[in-house]
Amino acid sequence: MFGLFNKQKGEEALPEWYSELQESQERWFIFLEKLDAKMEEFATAAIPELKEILQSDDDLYKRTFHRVYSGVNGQLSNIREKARDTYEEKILNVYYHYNSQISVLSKHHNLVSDFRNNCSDRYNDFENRYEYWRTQIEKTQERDLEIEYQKILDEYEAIKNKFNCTQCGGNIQIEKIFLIETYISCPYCKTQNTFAPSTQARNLQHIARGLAEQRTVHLYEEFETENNKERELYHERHELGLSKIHESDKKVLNEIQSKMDDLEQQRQFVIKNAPKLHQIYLRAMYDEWNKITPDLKEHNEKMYQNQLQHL
Amino acid sequence: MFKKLFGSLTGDNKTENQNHEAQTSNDNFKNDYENEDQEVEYDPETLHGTHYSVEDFDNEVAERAEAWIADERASGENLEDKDIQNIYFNYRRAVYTEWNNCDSDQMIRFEHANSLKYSGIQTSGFVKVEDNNPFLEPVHGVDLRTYTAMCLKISAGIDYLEVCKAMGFEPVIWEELNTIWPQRMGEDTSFTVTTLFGQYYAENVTVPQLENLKAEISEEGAANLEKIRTDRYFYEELAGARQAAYEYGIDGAQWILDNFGINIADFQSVAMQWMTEQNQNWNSENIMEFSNYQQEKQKEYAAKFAAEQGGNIADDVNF
Amino acid sequence: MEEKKVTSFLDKLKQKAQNQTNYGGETEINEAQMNTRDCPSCGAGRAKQDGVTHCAYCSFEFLSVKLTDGVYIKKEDNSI
Repeated sequence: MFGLFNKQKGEEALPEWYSELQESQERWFIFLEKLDAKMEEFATAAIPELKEILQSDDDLYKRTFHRVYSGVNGQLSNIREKARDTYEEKILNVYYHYNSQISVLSKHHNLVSDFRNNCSDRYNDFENRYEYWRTQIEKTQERDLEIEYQKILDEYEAIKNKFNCTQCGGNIQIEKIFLIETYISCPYCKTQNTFAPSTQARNLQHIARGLAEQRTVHLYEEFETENNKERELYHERHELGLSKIHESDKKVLNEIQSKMDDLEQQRQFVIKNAPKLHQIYLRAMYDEWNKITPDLKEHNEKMYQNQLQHL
Repeated sequence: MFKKLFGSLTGDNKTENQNHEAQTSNDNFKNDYENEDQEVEYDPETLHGTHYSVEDFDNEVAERAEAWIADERASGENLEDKDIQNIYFNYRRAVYTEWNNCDSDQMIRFEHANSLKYSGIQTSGFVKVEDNNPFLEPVHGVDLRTYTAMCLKISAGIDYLEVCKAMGFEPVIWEELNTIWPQRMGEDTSFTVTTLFGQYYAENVTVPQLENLKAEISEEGAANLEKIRTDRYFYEELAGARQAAYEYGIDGAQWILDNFGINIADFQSVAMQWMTEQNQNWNSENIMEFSNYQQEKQKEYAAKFAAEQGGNIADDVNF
Repeated sequence: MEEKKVTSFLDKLKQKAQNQTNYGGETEINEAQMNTRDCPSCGAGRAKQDGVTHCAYCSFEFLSVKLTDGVYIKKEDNSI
């Protein structure tokens, strides 16, 4: 299972401290395997529960849900901290100890550095899994805002004609979805009535951005994919660069170089293109947002202009 | 000495008193400043050394930065605005440290005091407000200070209708205020509105109309509140406990209210007060000390909450 | 055995979350409403053309502020 240590087979006797490294590494791998399993078990049990609580929590701010959600994340962080503390205490400390004892010139020094690399690679795996579960848990907060929006629209249709002036009894049309309280004057007797939107309608301004983002998520993903390409192309080019070191054939070298140039050109393109895609996304998202809450348009456009400065 | 240096920064007596409180409550640390930077005298407003002029300083920074930029461009580098800003930023640090022969804490205090000038962003504790800032124009006659006072009352648990009544207006107005002031905070890229709101919040401002509205507070709560205001360690303990509570599915704000009688408005106000104080008297050693203390306390409370819940789920996994 | 620990932990967490009081109390869920405010001083209705800050008849002060351009309220809504 821990193949990297086996390559020493057949060489001269290994130093006696090697068994300690080996044991620590084995324990570390087993320890993380157990934490991985625990994390998975906990998250897979918690996710359906969270979804159910979100559905059944009738508090406007979903506060019961948020308490459970925060408690679930707390346990995940607790597991992560346990891994981090153990890594420092049981792996790094051992590594530092031997690294200071064994000269880098010693033929056995690679045992020390391999120990560290193997352990830290395994640790990174664990961290990636932690991030994965954390994201899965984060997703339980997502609600289909279209449903909530539709309810608000339906409610508006139902109430827009049903109010009468409290002074003269004349019918007062509610001309749009008001986000907050407002004065509306009676078209007949001109009395100033005060209209207070329902709790549900007031919530529109709080879900509007989320809904707009939900509707334009495909554009955001296009931007993100492009944005991530820069690193990928950089690494690809870097790998090719390394492969040149052991190559002496001129023809092959030229081929590699032209591939590298090509990658660099692509990289320069995405560096310029990603912000453009970001802007396309933002424009579309703000347009959508403005459609949902036209009353916030003036403010939103200022926010959009500010955001453009930072692309 | 640190009172003299920083209390006079704003010319604001309130700030001076806060510093004084901090000084008396953190006896362990107050000596750290005593012998520092003795040779250099600093302008209380700009924190520049008084042995040179601000103009000379800015010129020196520009000269070095432009030389570097020219060099970079000559070697084919494509510099963007943010690279240029970074180059200036770094030379400002270098020249300041060199000319004043100071440590990094003094340099950071200098950066805080000049953040608006050099980076266009306000820093709590050093807010500079120019006249006629459109973001600070009153909304329906209500200025930011009054709006903050209303927010303080409402988050302390007083019904917003009561607050509106005391202010002499209908809830319609409050709803407009509570939409427009947050919008301005979002729009203002210098963060003047937000930082000033935070400063008023830290000062627990009030206006004459609201003076008779008092949130209920128990005797014990009042004593605890006074204690977190004056004893930074006690504040850090409660901040750590609050964080731990959230991690165990407990609403930290409610937990603080139940166990210490302090409402969220007062707690946040004190948090802002310590943050402002920390910015003004930047000292990395103190900051480390308090942050470690908070973490330590958070762990203690986490262990307590975990025990109440029958332990953590990974308790049985061992190395 | 293992399974039991995770389930019982989640059960306790849920229980505890449900039993806590919400900070600041329960939120009220309200329907949309229409109201008017007659002048408490002279009993007159509040008319649009008179602005919203003062009573057109007896000058009673409905709002003790000077209105500016806001979300829905405009400075024209000040009584003259």
